[in-house]
Amino acid sequence: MALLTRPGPLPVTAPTDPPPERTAGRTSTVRRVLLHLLLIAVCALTAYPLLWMLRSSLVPTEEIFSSPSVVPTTVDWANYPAGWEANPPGMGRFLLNSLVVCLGAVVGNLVACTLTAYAFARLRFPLRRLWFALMLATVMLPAHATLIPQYSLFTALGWVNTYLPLIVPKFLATDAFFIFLLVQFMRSIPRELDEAAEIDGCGHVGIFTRIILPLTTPALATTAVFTFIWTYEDFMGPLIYLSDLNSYTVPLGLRMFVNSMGESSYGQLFAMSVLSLVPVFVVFVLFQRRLIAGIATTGLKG
Amino acid sequence: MQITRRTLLGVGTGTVAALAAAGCGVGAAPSASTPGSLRATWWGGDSENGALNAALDRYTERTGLQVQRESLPWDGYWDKLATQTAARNAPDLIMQAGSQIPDYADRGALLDLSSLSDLDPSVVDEGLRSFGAVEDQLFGVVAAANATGLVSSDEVVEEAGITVPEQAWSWDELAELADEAHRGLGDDRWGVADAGGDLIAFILYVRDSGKEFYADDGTLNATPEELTAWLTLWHELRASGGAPPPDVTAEGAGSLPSSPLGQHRVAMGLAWTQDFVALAALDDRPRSISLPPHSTENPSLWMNAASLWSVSATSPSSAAAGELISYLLTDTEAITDLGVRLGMPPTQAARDQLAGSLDPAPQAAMDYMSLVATTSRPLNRLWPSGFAELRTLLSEINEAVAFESSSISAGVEQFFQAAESGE
Amino acid sequence: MSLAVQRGAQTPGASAAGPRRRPVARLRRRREAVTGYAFLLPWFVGLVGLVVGPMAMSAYLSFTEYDLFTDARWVGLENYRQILTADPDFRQSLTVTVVYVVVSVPLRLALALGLALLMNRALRGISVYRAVMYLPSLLGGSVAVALLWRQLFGRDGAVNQLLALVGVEGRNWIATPDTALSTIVVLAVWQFGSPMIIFLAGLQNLPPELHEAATVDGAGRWRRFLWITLPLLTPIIFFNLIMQTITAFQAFTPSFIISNGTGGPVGSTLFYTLYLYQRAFTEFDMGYASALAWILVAVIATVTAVNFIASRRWVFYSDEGR
Repeated sequence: MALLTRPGPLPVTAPTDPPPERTAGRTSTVRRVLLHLLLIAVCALTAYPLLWMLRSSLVPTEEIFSSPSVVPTTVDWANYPAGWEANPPGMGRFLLNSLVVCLGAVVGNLVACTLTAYAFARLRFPLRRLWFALMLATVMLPAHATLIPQYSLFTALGWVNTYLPLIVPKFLATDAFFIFLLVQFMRSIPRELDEAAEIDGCGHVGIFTRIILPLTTPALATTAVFTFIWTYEDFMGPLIYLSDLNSYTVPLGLRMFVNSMGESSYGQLFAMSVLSLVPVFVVFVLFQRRLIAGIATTGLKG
Repeated sequence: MQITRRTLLGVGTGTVAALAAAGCGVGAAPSASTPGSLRATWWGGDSENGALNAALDRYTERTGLQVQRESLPWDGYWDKLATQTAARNAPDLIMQAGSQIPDYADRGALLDLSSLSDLDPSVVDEGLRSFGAVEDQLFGVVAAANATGLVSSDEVVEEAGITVPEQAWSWDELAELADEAHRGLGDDRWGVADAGGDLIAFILYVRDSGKEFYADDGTLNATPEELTAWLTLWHELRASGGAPPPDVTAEGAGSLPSSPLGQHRVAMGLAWTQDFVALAALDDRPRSISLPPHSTENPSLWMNAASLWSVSATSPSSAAAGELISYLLTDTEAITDLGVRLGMPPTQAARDQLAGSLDPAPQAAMDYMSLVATTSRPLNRLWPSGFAELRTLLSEINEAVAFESSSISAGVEQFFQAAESGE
Repeated sequence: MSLAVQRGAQTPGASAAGPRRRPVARLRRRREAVTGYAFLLPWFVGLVGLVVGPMAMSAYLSFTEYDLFTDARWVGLENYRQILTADPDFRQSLTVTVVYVVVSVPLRLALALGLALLMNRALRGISVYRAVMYLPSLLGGSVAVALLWRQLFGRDGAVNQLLALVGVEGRNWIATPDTALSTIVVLAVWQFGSPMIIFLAGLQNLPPELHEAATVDGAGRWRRFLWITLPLLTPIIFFNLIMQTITAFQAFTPSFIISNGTGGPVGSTLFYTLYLYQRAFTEFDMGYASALAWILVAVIATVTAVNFIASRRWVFYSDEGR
């Protein structure tokens, strides 16, 4: 794997000048309208399922299964309070639990994956390629194959029925996806900048915190938001490691509305599914701001 | 949370040692139960949890025994139970299902309940007593009963101009009735939901002739001829329109509300009593449940276990678990707490106690169960292990035949090969 | 060409990186190695403490007959022999998975990249567009999507109703063996949000001075894209290609959309990991399933290695010269 090789002459300049305005702002009006139309068309396709879910949370159960329409024939909000109250301790508690786990996972991934990625992207040490290949190999094994040994391990550690199995691994950089992502972003930063900082007396810690981290803001934001969303959606982890209803997360709570061996409450399921999207959507929108704050706005002034 | 020396060693020197200790039966990991407490697991949603929590709270109040509850949604329940059991960390009291319990019992994961003096299995109906039994061992006591029935959509039946028989009738008569219904209903609606892939229905068909589906030693009693006749019956029904074409059946696979029966696109269909109750809650169109094809001299139906209570083989507090099972089945207040929320109660006493207090659909299901009680023949033994696999296999074979990607004879051969190698 | 222009610009580190004496260099290298391992410490702890053990265990189990509840029994290569020589379901599931990977990954990446490029600009409401386009990915393989997909691609579904308007007779896309998989491919392409966001982040990370310089050079829009944007984005394209391929090989939840996890109709959506899961958790054949898992690792590793080797030809890193 030829990922990590020698440094060389640099193809780009160090951004010493204040960054200029982004060039894309000058698109002509006709182009702009066409672009909007295209994007609206795509959005119609992607927003459809949410609208359908919203509709399904408002209509009688039989209608959910009989029509792909997004227009409700009746509007009955009763599924919202009913779904919120169902499955004590209820959706409010599940949401709170999910947020705790997600927060832990986000912090863990941000800290551990950036450290690991920096080492792989910027430092030279013996066996580096081997470790990098091994790191990638860890994501190739399907999760079901390691489920039982992993559970045994966490049982032996006494961590079962706590949030530790869901959070601690993130602090130990077990999420190779993000390590690799961050490596790719860090490698897009000219090495020249590190060298300049080194001359200014920065060590590796200084380069890491003052050069690399600010310049990978979009990647860090991506890591944060994906970790949040994927942890939030995770069903298998909480299912296996949590046993007390009071500690359950949102996906477990949602599945309780569907019971193949008994009655299901589909209307409430859809109501709570719609509601459960609110936190992720908020996180996503907040992250939008960080996503566009890369080199362009962070800059390296002074 | 005891941390053993072995665990520390394992963590310290790499995890393999700990894994070997905890995961693969070299030594047993400590169970999390503490004295005076018990772990219990079951599947279900709001309704099941509410019922069991009320009954368990009452029990704790009375006896002081704390019950740690690990209630789970049906989705994922078996993944977690298998994982916990493999890691020797299964809860003490376990809700089992009829189709799954053989796999656990056969591999020594469950305790023989006949060893528990405080649990009298004979409290449940006679027809259900042997359900969790293999020879003289008992691995589960029925928690809730169910039975297969013929569910019909009243409006569609009327529109089709047919009458669902109340007396003994044969599978051929069902086929004729289904064809007649399709003729009455026209395109896009059919007589009976495709049950060719339903092992339970095939077992009914085989038992109709008076023999058992499985011999007492767990080998298959059914013959290739019977399976050929069965698959042919359904293949012809699909061709004639008595049963829906395969894509319609496949479209509704695994989701009762999307199934042809749920959508009122067939007049009749075989379903469990709990499915009947769930279907009734879907919409306002009336449905009824009646006896599927059966003969009076050889009753083919049986009282079935929708769920069973079992105790983990590694449970340190099995006696307490046994007492708790007894309480759930026999205590009048517990019976009131549970109602029919786990399914039909497995004791006549409980059903008598609840009679008159139920909603129409559960009441109809309960009446149907009483009817089955008089026209059924208990199974000779618990399903052998591999039953769940065989069940999946039959539905795959029927589907392959229906889509004409496999012939009936090839399917039959595949079925019996799997049945033989499974044991 | 415009990159060549850039090369002439000042490189502040260059003068300082002049010839050094050897002992200093060696000391420096050693210090860098120590620092490297220090940065890797959390990862190592996780690897040794949490990851390697279970992986080694599953590798061991692949040489055993293990039914989860009783002790594993060593059978040597028997599981592998059976899988590779006498298991039609293995071949079926591998075929389904490979088709899925080969078709869905390029389509998904192309759509994600295209939309990311369109949206990488200051446009009114752009953040709303981005968020809405991510919606399908938020829903994943939930019950809602499963129900919706049936109503879109079923016999009386919305797709067929649209086709009927233009006089085309549809079919039951989701429940016919020939077309079931393609509805899952459509689902995968429709959930293009994650790679799109990563592309967007990559585009945001490009130094804008480059565009400035090239614009001054008089390079046109298309040329700038071809010669500047695209080369600088190759590490991110490469990342998405690798990770999306691995993810697609392990696709598990989509099979619950159509068949509720049976792999039907007639095995047409029997994904590899679904088959593995069935062997492990419904047939209690964990030894066999572990062998299936390691065969998948071998397949994915090979594809990944080939991709890495090929990447030398097309992936451009700013931290190394060309």
